[in-house]
Amino acid sequence: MKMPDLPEVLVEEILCRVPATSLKKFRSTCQGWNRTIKDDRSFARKHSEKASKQFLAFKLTKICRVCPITVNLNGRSPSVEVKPELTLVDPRSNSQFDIYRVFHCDGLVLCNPKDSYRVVVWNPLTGETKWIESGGRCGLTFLLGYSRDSKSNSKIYKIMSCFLDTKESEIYEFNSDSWRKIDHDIAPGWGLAGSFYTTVCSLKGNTYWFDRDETKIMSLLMFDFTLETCVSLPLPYKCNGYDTMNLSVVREEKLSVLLQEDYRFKSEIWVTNKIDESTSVVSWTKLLVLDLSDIHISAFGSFLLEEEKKMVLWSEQWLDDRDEEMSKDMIYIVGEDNEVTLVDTGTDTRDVSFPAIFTYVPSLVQINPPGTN
Amino acid sequence: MSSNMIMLKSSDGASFEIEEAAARKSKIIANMIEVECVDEDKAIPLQNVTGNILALVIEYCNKHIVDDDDDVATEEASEEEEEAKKKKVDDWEAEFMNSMSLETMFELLLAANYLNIKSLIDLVCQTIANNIKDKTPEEVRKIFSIENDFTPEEEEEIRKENAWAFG
Repeated sequence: MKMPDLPEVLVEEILCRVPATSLKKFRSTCQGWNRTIKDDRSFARKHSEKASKQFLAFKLTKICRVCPITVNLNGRSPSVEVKPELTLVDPRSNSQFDIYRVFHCDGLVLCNPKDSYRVVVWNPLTGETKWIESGGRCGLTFLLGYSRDSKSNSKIYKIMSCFLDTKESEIYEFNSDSWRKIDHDIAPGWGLAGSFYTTVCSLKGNTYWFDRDETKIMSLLMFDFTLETCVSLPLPYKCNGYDTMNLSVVREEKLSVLLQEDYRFKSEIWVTNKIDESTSVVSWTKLLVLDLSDIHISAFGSFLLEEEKKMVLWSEQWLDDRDEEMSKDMIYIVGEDNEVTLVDTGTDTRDVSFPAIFTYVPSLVQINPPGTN
Repeated sequence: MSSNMIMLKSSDGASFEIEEAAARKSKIIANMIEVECVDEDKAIPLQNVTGNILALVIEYCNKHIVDDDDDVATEEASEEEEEAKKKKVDDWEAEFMNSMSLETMFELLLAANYLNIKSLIDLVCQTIANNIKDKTPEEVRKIFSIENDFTPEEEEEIRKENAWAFG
């Protein structure tokens, strides 16, 4: 039987509720759909509001590539599969771009090369990229975030760059394709130096990392991309420092920390309440206590939390004691029962970067301002 | 709550009696009632909706009759009660949509659009979206009666761009 024809506006109402990865596939349906999915900004905005979000996992390998990973936490033998690397071609060399650090914000991935003269913002779903020169300065840390336009409430993406030792900071705006200085101290009373060598996470457009104040108490610091300044949040304990501390985002709505005060203690996973623009108090709940003494976790590792299943994925570089040339790119899966599943994702002598895992939420968001594509 | 009954008549001549409060879920009918062009003895003719689809629309409206008048009660309800209530509605909606063919969903969507019932448009669109998300572009073309207007080269190019999957 022939299906009734729907007016275009209803077809769009349906499409804006189809998950992002399916829409990518639907581009080859017809010219009209291809244009809507690829180029229509108001459709992209509608889609980000209405379609259910997909939470995928990506891995930065120690040979500087980004690979999707599929995670199966069901049943008695949980598993992880690393898929082939995604293509990100450096237009200068016409070869795969070497990524040393990644930072995910709202479907966009900020990739840092080894030096920091240039960074790239990348939408892995659409393949769109924006290469940004940092003005010939080295030693910068880059963070991607967004503020909201006060009239239209649409997201305005920005990059913050910062010299950690001097706290000298600049903001890059995509609309004007230029950098401007922030002429105030972005974090009065805070050191920043060394802070970004641990994990940095983005949630609802703002950026979070661990930091110490003048009294050496460890807290979480949030860079607010609207106010362009930092705000501190307490951690579950008042403490000068932890042997291991790590930060992760849970389903784009909560933060999670893994804390181990020192080797005598077990590792604890804490989760915040839901955080959004209207949250005034952040509170912590202890979700898991794990004995991770067998797998040697470090501050250079990274983790993902599956809150409902109470399971943790930990990514770590594992060095072979007998052969210093060799190192392994490992993912550990640990559950409430402390059972550890090891997934070896590659042994290699090319030990160039710290591996990491992070949540990736595919979106149709366009990076370049209108008229520049 | 008013228990006034009004009559609706489908394009194929079937008549339905419905509580005014339920009928008001449709902005079009609510407007007609506001401007008093509803004669109590006469059925409102709905030219674009067949009887079997109108029956579904009425089933939906009857189920959601309390939503708008419930503000006082919701203020006092605890969070758990709210959640339980929402789950009950969600379960009913899932069951309601579950037995429907894609074709019926399309008809229902057109009717909801004609009668301007926003929450039903949202529900049907979301269900169709869930239904098509795992289909191939070829299957989707058939469902939406779309002609493939790409040249083989263009189609190949797009497929290449989309070659990698997240799995």
